[in-house]
Amino acid sequence: MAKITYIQPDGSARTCVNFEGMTLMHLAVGNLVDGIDALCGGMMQCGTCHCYIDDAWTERVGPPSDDEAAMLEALADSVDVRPTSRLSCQIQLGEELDGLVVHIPSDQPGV
Amino acid sequence: MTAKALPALEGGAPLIGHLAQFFRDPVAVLKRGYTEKGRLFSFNLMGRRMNVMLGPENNRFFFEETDKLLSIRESMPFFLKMFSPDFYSFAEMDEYLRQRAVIMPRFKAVAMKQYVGIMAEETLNLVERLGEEGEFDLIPTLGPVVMDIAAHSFMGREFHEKLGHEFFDLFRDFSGGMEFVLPLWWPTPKMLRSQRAKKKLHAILQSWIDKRRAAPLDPPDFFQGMVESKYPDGKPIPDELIRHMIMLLVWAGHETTAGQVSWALADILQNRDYETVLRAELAATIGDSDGHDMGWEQAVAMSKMDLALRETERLHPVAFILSRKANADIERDGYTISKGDFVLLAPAITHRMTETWIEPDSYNPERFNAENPDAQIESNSLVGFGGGMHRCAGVNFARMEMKVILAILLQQYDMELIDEVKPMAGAGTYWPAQPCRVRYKKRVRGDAVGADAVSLAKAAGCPVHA
Repeated sequence: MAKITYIQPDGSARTCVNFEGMTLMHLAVGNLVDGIDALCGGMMQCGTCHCYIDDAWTERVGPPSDDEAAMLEALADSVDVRPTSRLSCQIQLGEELDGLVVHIPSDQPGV
Repeated sequence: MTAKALPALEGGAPLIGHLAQFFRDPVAVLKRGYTEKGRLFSFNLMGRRMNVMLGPENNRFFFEETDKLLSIRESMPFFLKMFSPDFYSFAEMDEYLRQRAVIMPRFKAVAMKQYVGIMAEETLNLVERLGEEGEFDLIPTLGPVVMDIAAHSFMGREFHEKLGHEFFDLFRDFSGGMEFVLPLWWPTPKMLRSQRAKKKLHAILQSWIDKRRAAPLDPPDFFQGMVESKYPDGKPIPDELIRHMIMLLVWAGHETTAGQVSWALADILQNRDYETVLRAELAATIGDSDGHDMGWEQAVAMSKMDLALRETERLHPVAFILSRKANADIERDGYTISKGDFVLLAPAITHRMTETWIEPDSYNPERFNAENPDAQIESNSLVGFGGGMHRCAGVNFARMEMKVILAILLQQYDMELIDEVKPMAGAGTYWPAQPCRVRYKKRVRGDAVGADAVSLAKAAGCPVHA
C-alpha cells in the first residue's frame, strides 16, 4: 500500500491510497484532488500536473529525468518552478513512497 | 556474457508453437506458464517468442519502461487495420501527442459530471424495454446499453433516431478485427466482416459530421466539440481523423465495459451477502429513487460499489493481456529479453497470484478496503486498466458508467442467475460466455413515480431539452 497525501491549493489535505498501476498524477485525478489538471494525460507535454515534493521526500522520490527537467525549465516562465518541482505524471507509485506528501501549486500553466 | 532467455513453456507443437492451445484457452496457457515456470516465462506463437511478466514489481517495470525500453506502438498491429497508420498510437510521436491533446481534456474526472445524466437516462431506457419481469441475457442486454451510453455521450443524442441497435452489431463486427494471434493479411471471415463494418461506420459518421457542419448544435455537445476542434496550433482536424477518434472512443468504451459490467452483475448475483451491503449503500445514497435523479455526487459516494467493481476487475479483467514490443535487449532478473520480442503482462494471472492475494479465487470486495487491517492493496497489483503513462484514458468514465448501470438495475429489480457463469472461449476480449441469463422482477420501492423523460434529458444537460 502507498498512502499519498496531497496538500491542495487551499491548504487542505487529501490522503489517497494506491494499489493500482497509477502514477502520482492518476491517483490525484481519480480521487478528484484539486489542482492537478493533467490535460495531456501523462505525456510530459502540458506541465499541468506540476507539483512540489515535500522536502522530507525529495531524496526518496529522486530527480526528474532529462526530458522532464527540460519541460520543467520551460515551465519556469509561467509558473513558480522550485528545486522540489516534479511532473506528477512521471512518478510511478510503489510501496517505497508510502507516506509521501506533495504540495499542489495554486496555478497550473495556461489554466 | 551469454544471454539467458526466459524459461520456455513446454508442450508447444512444431512450427505453430502454443498457437492452437492459446486460441482455445489463452488464460489456461498463461496459468500453466506461471504454475510450471514462475513469474517470468515465455511461450511460442508461430515462432514468435512471447515473454510474459507477472506480479506487481514486473507490472511496474512494464509501465515505467513503456516508450523507453518497451514500445506500445509496434505491439498492436491489428490497431493499424482497424484505424489508420496516421492515427493515435500508430502515428509518429508528435502527431500522437497532438491527437491525445484533443481527447484527454474531455476525460478529466470533473468532466464526468456531464455524463452521469446520460448514463442514467440510457439505463432507464433499458428498464423501460425490460418492463416488469422476465429474463435477459447479460451481454446482449448490457452490451447495447453500454454502446448507447458511449454513442449518446460521444456522437450526440441523434444517434438514437438514426441507428438504434444496428450500431451495436456493426461495432461488434468492427471489434472482430482485434487480432492478437493470426497474421493480419489472413482473410478470415471476422477480418472481412470487420473491414466491411469499418467502411459502413465511417460513411455514417461522415454524414453526421456534414450535418453538424451545416447546422451546428448550440450549445455544443461532445460531438459538436469534436467536429469543431482544432489542434493545439490552431489548425483544423481533418474529418478522417475525427471519424477515427469517435470510432476509437466508442469502440474502446464499449468493448471492455460491456464485458466488465456483465461480470460485475454476475459476481454480485452470486454473492448475496455483498448484494445486501450494496443495497444498503443504495438506500443511503439514493433512497427510494428509481435512479432518474442520480447525480455525480451520489455516484461518487457509493464506495462499496467501488470496492465491488475493483473485485470484479481483479477476478475477470476483460483486457487479460497487455502487450508491448522490446525496443532493445532487456535484462530482467538475470534473464535477457531480445530486441524485437513481444513482452506481455497478464492481469488474468497476476490478479490471482497467491503471493499477492489471500484466497485469490474467492470474491471479497472488502480486501480493497484500506480501512481493513488485512487489506490487500499493494501498489501495481490491480492492473485491469493498465498503468503508467498509457493507463486507460477512459477509466473514470468506465467506472462511473458501470456504477450507474448497476445501481439502477439493483434499485429497480430483484435478480437471479439462471445459467452457470463461465468465461467465453477463445482469444478475444474476456467476456462471460453466452447464454448467461438473469431472471428479474420489479422491486417494490417506497415511491412508484416513473422517470420523466424530459426532466431526465434536462438533467443530462441535453441541449435539445434544455
